[in-house]
Amino acid sequence: MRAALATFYPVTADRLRFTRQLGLSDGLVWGPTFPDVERLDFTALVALKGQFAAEELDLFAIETLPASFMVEVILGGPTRDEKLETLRNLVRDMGRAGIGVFGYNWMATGVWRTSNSFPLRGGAHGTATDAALLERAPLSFDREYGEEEIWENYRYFLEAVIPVAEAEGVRLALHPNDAPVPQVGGVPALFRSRENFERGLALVPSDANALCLCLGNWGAMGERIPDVIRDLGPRGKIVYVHFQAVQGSIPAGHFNECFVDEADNDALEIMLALHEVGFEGVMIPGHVPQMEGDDEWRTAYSAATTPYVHPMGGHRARAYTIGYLRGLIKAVEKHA
Amino acid sequence: MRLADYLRADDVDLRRLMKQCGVDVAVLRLPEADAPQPRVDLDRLARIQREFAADGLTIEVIEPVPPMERVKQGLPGREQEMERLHALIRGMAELQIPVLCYNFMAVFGWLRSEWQVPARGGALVTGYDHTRHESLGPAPEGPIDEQQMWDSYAWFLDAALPVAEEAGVTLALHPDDPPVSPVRGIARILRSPEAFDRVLSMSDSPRHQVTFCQGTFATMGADIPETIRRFAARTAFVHFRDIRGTPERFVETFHDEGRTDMVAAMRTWVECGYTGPVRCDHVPTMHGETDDRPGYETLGRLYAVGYIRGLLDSATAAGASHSAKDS
Repeated sequence: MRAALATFYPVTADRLRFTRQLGLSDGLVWGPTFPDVERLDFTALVALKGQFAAEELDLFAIETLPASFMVEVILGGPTRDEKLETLRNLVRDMGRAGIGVFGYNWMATGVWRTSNSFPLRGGAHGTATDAALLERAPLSFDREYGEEEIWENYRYFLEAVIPVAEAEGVRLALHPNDAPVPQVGGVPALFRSRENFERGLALVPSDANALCLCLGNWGAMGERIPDVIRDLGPRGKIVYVHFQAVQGSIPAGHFNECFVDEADNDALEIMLALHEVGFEGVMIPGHVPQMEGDDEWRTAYSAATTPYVHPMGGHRARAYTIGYLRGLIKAVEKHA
Repeated sequence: MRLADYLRADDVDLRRLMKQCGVDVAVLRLPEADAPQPRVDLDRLARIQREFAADGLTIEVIEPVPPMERVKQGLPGREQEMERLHALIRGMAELQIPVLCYNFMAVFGWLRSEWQVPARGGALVTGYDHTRHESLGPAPEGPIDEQQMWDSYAWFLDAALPVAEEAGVTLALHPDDPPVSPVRGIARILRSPEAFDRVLSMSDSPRHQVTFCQGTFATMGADIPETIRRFAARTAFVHFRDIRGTPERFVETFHDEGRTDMVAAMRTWVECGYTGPVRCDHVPTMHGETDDRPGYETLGRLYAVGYIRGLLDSATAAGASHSAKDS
């Protein structure tokens, strides 16, 4: 098991060097800032992989394409087939370039939070979500979408992309809807429960149809995460982990992000469960708390172009979080 | 074991950061401005204590003591230095600060010959090369031999310990770093576990204890878990870090890549029932940092505190399940 860090596209050497200094051997690229998914071809992907190699890192995955790109696929818009063709080409080229994991989500409107300033330990801040308040969000699009309609679009997506992924040795890793509420802005949030993940996995059974286990969202669903790991892990469905920490849950009405060592789901128990099921992927902290005097993790370019508005912590909170994860991993692997 | 960090009175930023990391215990570095003063400013110390308390931090250790070169070198004027130390100890008692970390390195304190050795990813660490340092020639204060150092130490203990006992303040002795002798003609006596056996045999007082600098014991080549078991009962404070190399030539490392099995070390502290403070000590300088204070920049410290906390949480849980099985 190993920790890793993700950085926004375009990738800068300073973020990679920091990643290496933390003792990590893997990095991921966040794609919400891809200016043009069509231009992410074989040559561009090989160059991207090479940027990581130059800093002694492996590029483990590309995750999260711009919502503006995915929205057509999720809602079944008029250019869906063009977008799916682009996705097929991307997955093919990733496989050829040696990038074996494509992380994605099924969110037409990105991540939803109702607070960016929830007070945490020692005056740090985290994001938080109030379930009832989210319910009141106005329509995001021209109309309300039906649950089965979105499922049908999901099946259409899987049937288009999974065969290419299988052929090229790429695994698709589905991230939960964040927040895992029934719907937001009139769009059903399909991946909000264990049952719905099972339904998604069964739609197109394949080794390439797998999950990015985001502990923050699984925690927010009110699940006992070690049990989830003991179920999904042995079935080979956990490609990698978002080691996010939350307190509270959507069933309880409210959750907030917090430091990695103070979540409702104990980090050590999670690590023991991952070790027990023979997990071999990476785990990344995505967003981390806002700490005293911390800087932006986003580079100037990504800060200017990312559609995400919630804060995601900087170098300081990442240094602490990676330290904690690596301490746990070392202890668990050495003496489990 | 409780996480602590080494904080200056004026570094508010770091104080809050550490609190956010879940650190509740402070190790105070006395304001440098006080160092040459003939006495310790207790009003100022009380004010610092209140400021720390307002940020949720309890000062449990003061490190190091004000300069006492005359005491260490056995020179005239050492009585005045000792009086200042007595005043500090009594003041600590008044403010309920229980531990005073000190060392007995004369002339040269914490010593390195290299301050910017490249580590992984271009991080910077410190290192020591004895040959290189010796090439600077004998120190003008020397030579001072080992017997002189032991005599000075005995004088120190006779003078300081009774006051510490009366005040209820624990004196916690740090090993010599690097643990080599002599350094440019100045003997270093606290460079092996055996030397600490000798130190502790000089008094059974519970106020006479060790600052277990794991990095320095590792530099000595000592077996760390065995050495922890040997001294845990008389340890008041732990510095938790690591190195690679020998006493004559070594580099500091990130906490996860040195010579020591840090998981076993942490487990041993927990098994021994050590409940005192622990701090990460020196850390690499990382990306974007100025390296103005080698060993004491921020990002490496955050990483180290996280790492130690990860080891500690695992060891505590393992210790608990072990005791559950025993009962």
